[in-house]
Amino acid sequence: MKTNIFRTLLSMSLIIIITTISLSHGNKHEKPENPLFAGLDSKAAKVVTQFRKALMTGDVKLANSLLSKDVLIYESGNAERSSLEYVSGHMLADMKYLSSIQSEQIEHQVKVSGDVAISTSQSKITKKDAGKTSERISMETIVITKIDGKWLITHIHWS
Amino acid sequence: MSNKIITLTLIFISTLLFANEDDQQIKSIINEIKYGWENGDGAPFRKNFLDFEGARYIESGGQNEGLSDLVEHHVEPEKDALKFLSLDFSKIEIHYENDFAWAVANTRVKGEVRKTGKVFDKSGFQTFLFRKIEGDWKVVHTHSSSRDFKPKKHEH
Repeated sequence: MKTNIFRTLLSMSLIIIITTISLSHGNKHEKPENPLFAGLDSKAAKVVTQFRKALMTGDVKLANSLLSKDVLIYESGNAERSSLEYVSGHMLADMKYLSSIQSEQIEHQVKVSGDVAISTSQSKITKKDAGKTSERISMETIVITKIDGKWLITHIHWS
Repeated sequence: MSNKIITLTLIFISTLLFANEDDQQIKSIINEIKYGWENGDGAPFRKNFLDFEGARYIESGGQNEGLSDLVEHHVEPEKDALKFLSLDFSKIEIHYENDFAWAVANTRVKGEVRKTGKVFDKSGFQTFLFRKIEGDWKVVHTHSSSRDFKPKKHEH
């Protein structure tokens, strides 16, 4: 009887040890996450990347569909307080500007917390004008909120 | 019927009271941050900011990574670098989503650089993002941007 219990315990211990070793061994082969580009697989993050792409390709309809109606946008010393105000106002100028420059995202992190997500990113902007090349860093904070089951952008701060 | 009305009224009042309490706490934190910037004092930041890996605080084209970086390389050095600094937050709006809140405000910042004597006067915007941790609101991200202040021209 005692021998059976001992064997059972020994088998269980071996299973636990082997599982632990194989899991830790497996982790060694996982690609470590780049901290500069983190959390980008979430649905909220995809809204941000889609929005960025829409602005860069001049897709007004897509960009508008990703904004909450009461979005608050801070940009270049201005505040826009609805998607209607932004889409009918500054967005076209932003699209024109983005088509005239090279923008390289140098970091982007998205953190989801319940029905809200925070996206922060940094881009290097290169502009060629009359043979001269200038560079600057652009910073972006975006708040994405799950509204009626859909992730939408509720706040943007560009600087 | 009257019981239902009383219950709903009580729920409504308690919701308002709690919202008010949250508003007060967040506005008080913003006020402490103002004090911290103006006095080059890192204590209000260490008290009210959530210290976590990956935290980022953005200011007009630059950022500090982590709370210690913000306090040691931005807040505290300004005490020596600036002769004076005045920071005002106005039109504070706070939005809530369960245990998450974001506050936005208009900013006006004035100061004088000790070394050069250069005086600056800028206006702009501030975004604060908060998370409620164990009953207390903590700042998890900030973004401020400003430009040289230009008074608005009156239209006639």
